[in-house]
Amino acid sequence: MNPAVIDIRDLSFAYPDSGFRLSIQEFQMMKGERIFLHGPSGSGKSTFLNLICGLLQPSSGKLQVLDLDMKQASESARDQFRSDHLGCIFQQFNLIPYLSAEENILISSWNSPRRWSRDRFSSPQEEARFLAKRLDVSDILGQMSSKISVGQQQRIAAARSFMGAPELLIADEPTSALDVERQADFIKLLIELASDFEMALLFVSHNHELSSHFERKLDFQVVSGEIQS
Amino acid sequence: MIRKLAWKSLLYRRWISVLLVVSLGSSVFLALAVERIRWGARESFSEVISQADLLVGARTGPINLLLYTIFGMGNATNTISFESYEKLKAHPAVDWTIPFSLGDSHRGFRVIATTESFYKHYRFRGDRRIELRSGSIPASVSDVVLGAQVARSLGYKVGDRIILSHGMSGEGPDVYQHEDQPFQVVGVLMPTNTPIDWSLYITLEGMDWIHEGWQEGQTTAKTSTITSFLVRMKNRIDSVYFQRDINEFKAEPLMAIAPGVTLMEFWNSFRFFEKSLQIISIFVALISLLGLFVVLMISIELRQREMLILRTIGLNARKLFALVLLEVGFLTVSGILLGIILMFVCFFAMQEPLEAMTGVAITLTGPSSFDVGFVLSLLILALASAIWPAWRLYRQSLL
Repeated sequence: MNPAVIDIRDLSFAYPDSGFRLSIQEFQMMKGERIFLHGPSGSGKSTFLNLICGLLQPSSGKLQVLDLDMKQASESARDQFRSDHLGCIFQQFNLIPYLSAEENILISSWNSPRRWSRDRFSSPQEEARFLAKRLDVSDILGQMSSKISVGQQQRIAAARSFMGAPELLIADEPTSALDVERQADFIKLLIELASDFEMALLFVSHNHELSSHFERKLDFQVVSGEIQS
Repeated sequence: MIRKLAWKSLLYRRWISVLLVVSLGSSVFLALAVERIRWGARESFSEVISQADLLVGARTGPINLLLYTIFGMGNATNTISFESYEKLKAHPAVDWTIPFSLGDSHRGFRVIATTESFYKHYRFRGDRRIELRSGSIPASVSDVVLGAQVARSLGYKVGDRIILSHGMSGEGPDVYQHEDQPFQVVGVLMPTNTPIDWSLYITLEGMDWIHEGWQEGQTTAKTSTITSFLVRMKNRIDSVYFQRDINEFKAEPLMAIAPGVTLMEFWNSFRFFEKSLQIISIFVALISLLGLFVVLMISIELRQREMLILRTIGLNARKLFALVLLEVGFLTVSGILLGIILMFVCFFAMQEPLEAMTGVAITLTGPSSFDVGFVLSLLILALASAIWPAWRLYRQSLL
């Protein structure tokens, strides 16, 4: 089995209707690795994440996530892959407004049978409650997600992405809507849980100060060849 | 999972959902109601007279004969001799006849001279017969029975004495009033919601009686002419042959028409009116569909975030489409059901007042082929109009 979670060679991507072009010569992320990726907005980070998630497909080159060749895989194969193996947390608005906090955690397990850890829990609900406890949101599980604070929403979103311990967790500026003192707490929690479940964590931010929590830090402009290291 | 999401999403947006269902339901109601009224008007019109096989009169246009005999519009151009009538009446294939003699009026309402055969045999709206609300049918020459609207408009009751006028122009210095022959109201008919309500009924002898002094040289109260008569055959099939016989009648020029057929021909000459009603109802439905489409487009702009979340947890195109179509389908089906329920409740409550007011009888039958076709095409159009926004939603879901 491939020890890399993400393996990229000579990847290039261009939107059909804009001049923007992203090319990455080489990028690798190993199993269980935790990477801090920073770069200014507009540098193509979002495009990069869309490619890894399989929402976009590379124009040329190699993009392999776990064992799936994203260049070749069909749309439905990529959808299936995303539901089985990826967790995502965004900047904000991570929750479906018409579901309760608990349902928002469980929704990934509704969509994929692999998204709860049968070996450690007797039911998805049990796993959701365990994660909620670790993330300190046990008391709001029954509330409608439109009623809970931004900080709690981010924790619920984190709990959802940890369901079933997927191999790769992508966090796209997940702390930018939080107070400065909460940011560090949230990142520490993410790292702690990711290492407990042996998940790789790709943390993307334009805020360089947060990088101190990570062993490997990358400048996206270097990765994309815009700046020589 | 999709059903659960769709249901929770609809509940979350419940006020918008309810408003949408109500707006769609009202348009469905309107479209179906217009169609029913159109159908009811047509049926009521063609059923103004039923069970009679032929209407016979002096030679004129078929519609003219129908208009002056049944609807009290226009005037007879000629009469039939009573001899001819009796001859035809005696034909072995004839079951019954109802003779009419027209020409007089009372304060703008028509006076129709007929026989007891009218009260016994006349049928409308299928098997409904003429009934008396009070009093009895005319027995003597000076007896008159009033249609329901005549009694109501003029405030007459049994026992009142009235004077009839010659011709249709009502009162005035030039109009001859049959003042020497006052009539007595002996009965009032039940409302029929047909032209019957708007006339007064006397006997054929009564008609002769009032014209006795007026027509020179006619002193006996013996009927000499009538205007027209209805015929019922013992066997319906014979009406075709009998109609031909009458049209080729030697003694005088006569004409026989099938009243139902002529009624329908007459109605069809107002097709444009029916068509415009239908076009209105279709436009109403299309506009409400446009409303549904606009709401969908707006809600999709608002739901981009939600769709992105669903995409990132791996919902595929099929499931996202299913979610959107399920919601739209549920809203549309609810709207349609609401419209149908509204229509039935409304017509159930309004049936009688509507008939009394307009003479249009709505029959509450099950769904017609128009209903089914309309409702199905509405559903298909609604689902089709949801596909484009759903597709946009799917394509635009990017981080």
